[in-house]
Amino acid sequence: MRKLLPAAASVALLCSSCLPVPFDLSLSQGAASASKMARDNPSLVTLGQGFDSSARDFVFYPAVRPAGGGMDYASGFVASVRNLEYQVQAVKKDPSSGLLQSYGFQSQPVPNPDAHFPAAVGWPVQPGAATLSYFFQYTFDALDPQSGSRYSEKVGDPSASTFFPVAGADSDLHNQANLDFPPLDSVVLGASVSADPGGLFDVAHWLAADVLSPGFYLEMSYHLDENGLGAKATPRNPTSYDLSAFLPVIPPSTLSRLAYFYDDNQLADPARMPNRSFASWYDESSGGWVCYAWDDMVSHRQLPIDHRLDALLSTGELLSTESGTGRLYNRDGGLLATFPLGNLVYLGEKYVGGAARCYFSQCLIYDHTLHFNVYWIATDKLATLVD
Amino acid sequence: MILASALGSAQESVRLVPRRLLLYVAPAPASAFTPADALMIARSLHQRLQEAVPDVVFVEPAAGAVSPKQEELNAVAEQAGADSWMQLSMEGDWASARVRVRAFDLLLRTAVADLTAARASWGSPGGLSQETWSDVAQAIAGKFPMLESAVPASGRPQLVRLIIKALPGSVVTGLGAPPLKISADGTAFRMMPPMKEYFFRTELAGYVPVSTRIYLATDREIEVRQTSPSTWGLEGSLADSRAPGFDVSVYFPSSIFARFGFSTYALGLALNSTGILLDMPLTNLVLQVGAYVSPEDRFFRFYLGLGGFVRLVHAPGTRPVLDQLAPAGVRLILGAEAPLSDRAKLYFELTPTFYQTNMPDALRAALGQENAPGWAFGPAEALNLLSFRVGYRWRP
Repeated sequence: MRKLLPAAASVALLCSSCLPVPFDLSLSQGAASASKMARDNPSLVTLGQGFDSSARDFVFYPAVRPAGGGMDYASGFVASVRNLEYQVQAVKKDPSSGLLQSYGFQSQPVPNPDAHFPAAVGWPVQPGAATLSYFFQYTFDALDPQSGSRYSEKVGDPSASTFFPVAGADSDLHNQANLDFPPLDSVVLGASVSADPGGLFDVAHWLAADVLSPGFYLEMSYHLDENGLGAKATPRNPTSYDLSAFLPVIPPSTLSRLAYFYDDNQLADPARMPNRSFASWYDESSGGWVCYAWDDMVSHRQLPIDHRLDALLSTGELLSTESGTGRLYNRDGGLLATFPLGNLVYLGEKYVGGAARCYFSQCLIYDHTLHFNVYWIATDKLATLVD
Repeated sequence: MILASALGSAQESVRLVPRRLLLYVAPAPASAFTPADALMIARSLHQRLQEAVPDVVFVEPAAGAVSPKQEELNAVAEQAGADSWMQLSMEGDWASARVRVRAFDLLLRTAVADLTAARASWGSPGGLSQETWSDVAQAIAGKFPMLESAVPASGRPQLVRLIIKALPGSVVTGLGAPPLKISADGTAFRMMPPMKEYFFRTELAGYVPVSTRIYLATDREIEVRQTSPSTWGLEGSLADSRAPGFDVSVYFPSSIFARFGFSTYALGLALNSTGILLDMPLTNLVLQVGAYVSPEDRFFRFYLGLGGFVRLVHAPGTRPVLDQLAPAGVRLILGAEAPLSDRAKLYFELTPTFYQTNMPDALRAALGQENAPGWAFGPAEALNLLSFRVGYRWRP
């Protein structure tokens, strides 16, 4: 018996190297919160074989039905990251196979110079070229800093009744003549999108540094609809103003992007008076995240938030999903709730039937195929995800 | 050494001695046969068997009015100097006779023949002249081979005394019938033919059965060491050869067991392209019940069981929670163990496992891009057929 032990142990150990462990922390943490969320039926969609296996962080952005009609899981976008570049594919379900097939807008690489931001929402590529890549309902693509080529194709399915990303040449973000934003001599540092209760448009917000006036910054807001940038909305100030007390006088190259949010308090909530701006960025010198808020052009405060911010929600609360953990803060930076997200990726907030929902994408890869679940939870119930 | 010496001395003085068999003939109750008829039949039987089975000495035939019990026949045979006996009883009458023949080996304490046959051809006492008793001769032919004897002078094989010392009440089997029972003083003996190997088993409720193999040359005393197993034990294991675990076992009578323990993936073996050690914040709490299907004294002992478990995720910075991916499961246990020592055993268990999950797709993704071998998925469950466990079991 003792003589057989080494051989038996070798065989057992060899077997162990072949058998996978039925566990993945990211999936388990995602499941913990997903079990408390809702899922439209059917929302499990499968991407046909042939995806870029060298890419990672696959996210499915379903198309949005108009006027608060919810999601259409038969089409949308699949975004992924490869070598610090975002790849975006427009996809729709093939009726015969039932799988999502890429069409129209093919794997257009979008350079992302800041590895701290995984989400593809707004970053500058060079002065004067504001960029907002936003895949949930609209997309406005980037200016390639190397070639100078502009990726601003119109992508959509005219036969479908869903909103689809558009970026017509006449609505380029840098078209100062049409939109008066941004000024040619500015650097956009941050952008965000918030949902409008009516569901007819979203609102995009930008923070840009005025290159000609060091330390002066611009805050601008525009409507986004299926035709691209629309009317200017709730302008903070028509001219740039001094934020040098906390933002760099001249943004260093390392501060190429920050998270910027503007609470214009659409619901006129007395607790959210006055309107407040938020800026959060990764401070290379301290090796951590910092967050500032300001209610006017003069005073400001640093909030006790040391995690990346991903959204300003319709409730006025701030959401961080850094490192697979959801953190909910009030407008003063007080931590309200912490919950696991694992592999659930925050997509954005949408009003459906008049109620705000937060949508999350879950990517599952098995049988060499990409599968996506999309879960949602009412925004005012996010705190119930606490484990 | 001792065995070789015994064998050597046996070869020097060995002789073959025929067996001695007592014939006993009696009518069955309610039979029409008389004692006189029985005597006639006994003589006929004696004569034919002497011719048909020459290597057996048939001791003076005996006949009686009734058939004695086995114990009485044993005594009659021993008094007659026989080491075996054959009893023939007649039913019915001369016109419709039936006979029953039983033969018993006193040395081995074993019945060697038992047959019933019709004798309609007799018709009358005169019919015995045509009786060949061939069926009876065939029934005992070869059943009483000659013995090797170290003492040929007496013409009888020498029997030696085998004394067994064990716990009072123990039952010893394998030394012929009836089983030997250890008396209150802790001993029992039986006369046995020498120069033979014997294998006997000693059993007592609440103690581990002991199997003993001996070579018996002369009178010998064997002490059987019986141990009462502990009602509890400890186990260390590796699930799928990678996840260490620890169990406490409780044993009940009739080899039934219950185990409670855990296996964890927090510090295990990975042995794959990504690393050597496993570091996953998952621990299974396991409860198992089962029963052994093999006796305790077998080298390989098999058992069956059923286990249930819950999966706890204990990621750093969070409190332990049930894994919502697959919170619980049950497993079938097909196990075998082999001894390393009196108290320690190694075991291997095949554990087909059924996982309860509300997210089978996510559980499938947790196994990787490849289709994991041995797994099958349903709408709310998953089955892993290639799950196993190896371990070390200690029972004080």
